[in-house]
Amino acid sequence: MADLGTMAVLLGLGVALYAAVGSVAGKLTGATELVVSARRAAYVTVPVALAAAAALVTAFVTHDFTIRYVYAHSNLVMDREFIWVAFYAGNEGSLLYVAGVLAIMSAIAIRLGAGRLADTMPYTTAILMGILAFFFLVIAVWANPFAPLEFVADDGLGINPLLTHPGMWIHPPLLMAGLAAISVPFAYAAGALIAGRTRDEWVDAARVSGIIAWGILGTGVLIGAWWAYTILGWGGYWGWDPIENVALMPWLAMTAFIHSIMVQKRRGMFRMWNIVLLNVAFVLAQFGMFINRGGPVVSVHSFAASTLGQVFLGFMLLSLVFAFGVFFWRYQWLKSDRPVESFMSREVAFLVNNFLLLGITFVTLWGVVFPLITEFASDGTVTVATPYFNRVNGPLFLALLVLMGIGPVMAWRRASPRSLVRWLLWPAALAALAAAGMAIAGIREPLAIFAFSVLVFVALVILEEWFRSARARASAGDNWAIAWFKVVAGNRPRHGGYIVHLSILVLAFGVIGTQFFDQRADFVLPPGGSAVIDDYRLEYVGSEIEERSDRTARWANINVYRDEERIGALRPWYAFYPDFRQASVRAGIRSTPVEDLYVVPSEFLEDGRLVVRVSINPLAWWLWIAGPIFLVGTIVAVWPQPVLEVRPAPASAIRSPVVRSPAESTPRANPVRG
Amino acid sequence: MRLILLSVLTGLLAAAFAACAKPEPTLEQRAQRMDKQIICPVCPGETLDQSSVQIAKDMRELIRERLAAEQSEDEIKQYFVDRYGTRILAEPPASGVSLAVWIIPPVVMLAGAAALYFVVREMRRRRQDQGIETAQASSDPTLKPYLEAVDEELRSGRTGSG
Repeated sequence: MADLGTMAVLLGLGVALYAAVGSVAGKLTGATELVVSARRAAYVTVPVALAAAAALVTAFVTHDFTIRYVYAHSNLVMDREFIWVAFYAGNEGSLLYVAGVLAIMSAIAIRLGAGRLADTMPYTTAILMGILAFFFLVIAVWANPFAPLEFVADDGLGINPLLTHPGMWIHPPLLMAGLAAISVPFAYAAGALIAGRTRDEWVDAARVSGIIAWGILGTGVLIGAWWAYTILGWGGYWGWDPIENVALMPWLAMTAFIHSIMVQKRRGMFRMWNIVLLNVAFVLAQFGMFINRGGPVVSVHSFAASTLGQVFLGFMLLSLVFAFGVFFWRYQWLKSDRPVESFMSREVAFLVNNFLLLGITFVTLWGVVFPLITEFASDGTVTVATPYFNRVNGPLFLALLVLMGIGPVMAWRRASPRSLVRWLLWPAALAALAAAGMAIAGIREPLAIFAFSVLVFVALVILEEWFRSARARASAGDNWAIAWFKVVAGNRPRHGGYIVHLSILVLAFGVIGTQFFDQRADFVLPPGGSAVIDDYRLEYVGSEIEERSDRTARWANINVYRDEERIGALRPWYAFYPDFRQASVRAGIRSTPVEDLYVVPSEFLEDGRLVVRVSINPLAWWLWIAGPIFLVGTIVAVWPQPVLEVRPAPASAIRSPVVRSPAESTPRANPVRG
Repeated sequence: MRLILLSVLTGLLAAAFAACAKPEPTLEQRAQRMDKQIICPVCPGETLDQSSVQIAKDMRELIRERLAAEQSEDEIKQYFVDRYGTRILAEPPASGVSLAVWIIPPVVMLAGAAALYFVVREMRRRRQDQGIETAQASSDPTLKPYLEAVDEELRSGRTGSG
């Protein structure tokens, strides 16, 4: 099995290299057969990568402990269903997984681009295959999952206990797939630039593939938050940890891109800017790969220790040079000939959106690298953790939310103040009313009240637009639900976007609730003892113990009372894995839309007492509701529109409402502007 | 009518914020706020608030004892800094080398905002040079209602604009 796997990896490397070199050589020399052959080679990487993956899975299933990776990440007693998790529990398997995903995505991207983008696809193919070849090379040389174990072992070390959670089946694969998928829109755009197609040919392909990558990455981040919430036992879901940050940053840059690309799609503007955004997202994705593969803790020392880290750092720098090299090479051709007309326009709203998103990205990056800089610059190290990010990014996120309410009702080109007032007055009024209501109801956090009322405002603006559009249709005889469906189906990018916006509001609702109103307390409870927090009373009944070959797990049985009425029971557990010298907890959570009661056993004392940390996390339930809404909105936004396909209009078509001047209608003929 | 509505609501909003002047935080609230500002020494990246290991629990207790003994928050922080170094603080202090961590983001954001403003202004000016007629057309008062109607239509998405 090991030999088969290694052979598949080497074959994959060869085929990907051939596809990369062949398609460029074929394109340059005009040898069509070579281009076609290279394209087919790109398809071949899929079965090759799958064969390597199948070899690794087989090795896991058959407990082939002659392979070091299988030895290090599995054992005889582990549950079968975690083999999928063990596959990517270490660097070697993760990289093989990324290679597989990249091969599949590349093949789909190449197939779908073959028609409309035939001219530029050889370069796109070359870029995708170049990236794939890099991964195969790394696997073959530095991180071969099929490397043999140096000694004979009867049993493996087993899987890291933190990974034995359902969230782990989807969170890491989605994150890695999302990071890898950003290569696709990047390759479409860069391929088009290299081919000299510097107008808007690549826009649709990059937009759709960009949203897909962005949706995968976003879903992965959300599931990661859920995993952290249930298993890490600190009652939180986001810790601004470097590993989290490096996934968030490319997501933010892609968020900026999928907004800004709409301006190019509709108005043929911001060509340069969109390329810059894609480049930034792509390089940040490589930065994410680098931090993830360089070691779990970001520190100069772990960089030095890991060859793999250096390899990925090198690849990231190469990506940076390549991406911006192509950009500056084609810079002159990218100029947009249609200027922004007014500060009060949707174009500018999108620019401000980009500005804020990139600002958050920058702050996050700065927070990640600053401790490294100080480590070099001075002897004392500093920590940049959650409070810093909350303090600096919090206001930026809030500004972004406000913009989310205003931007969508801004007209293209030039918004009239009157129409803005007409759209925004009622939502703003009701939001103010909601703020007053919250203050009267006794909420004593001005910032939280402001943030909540911003959510109300944005939600009302969206609902108002849906209401007005649906009413127009409903008056034609449809019932309201059908009318609304037709409205959404009529312009999917826009209304899918609104659904995603709603999911962000729901998410923000949970974030504000947990950030401003959480409560925590520690208790030491003898059996039969009770702890009181807020209006809950927790009664510790006793514990159960289960010995397994790899762990000792203890359950705490806890009855939950509110106003002396028993409202439920919680069974949080705490397991100790001696082989890993690591504990794993599973919180007991009683989740309601109002608040979560969250119980983590931190220790079972010798005398039978239980050390427990209890939290109340208001509105945490909403964090997880946001996920499905986000997914639905993303799918609506990319779903192909069969009727009335909206294509980028020729330069002259969109601006028709205003009388054109002769000078303006012929900018492309102007040689200076190229 | 709109103006009245707007002013009433502004007043209401102001009253709301005046009403929710924060009450003096309790000892426990102050302690929980401090838990979030100090890093657990043995678990990288986790604050005391997040960590469930013994030492974090002890440190949380210590914070409560000292607050009860009327030590100030700064004194307690200083105590931890003396024992563990600056890295025990979840936020770097705004002094010395780590002042940069606080200064750079606002500076970059301001520079970015200025760049954004000037770029858009430049683009608008270029447009005005090119298309004087366009500018005149759109400022022609007789055309205004039509242009607004068009804007309205574009924005409402009925024409497929979005």
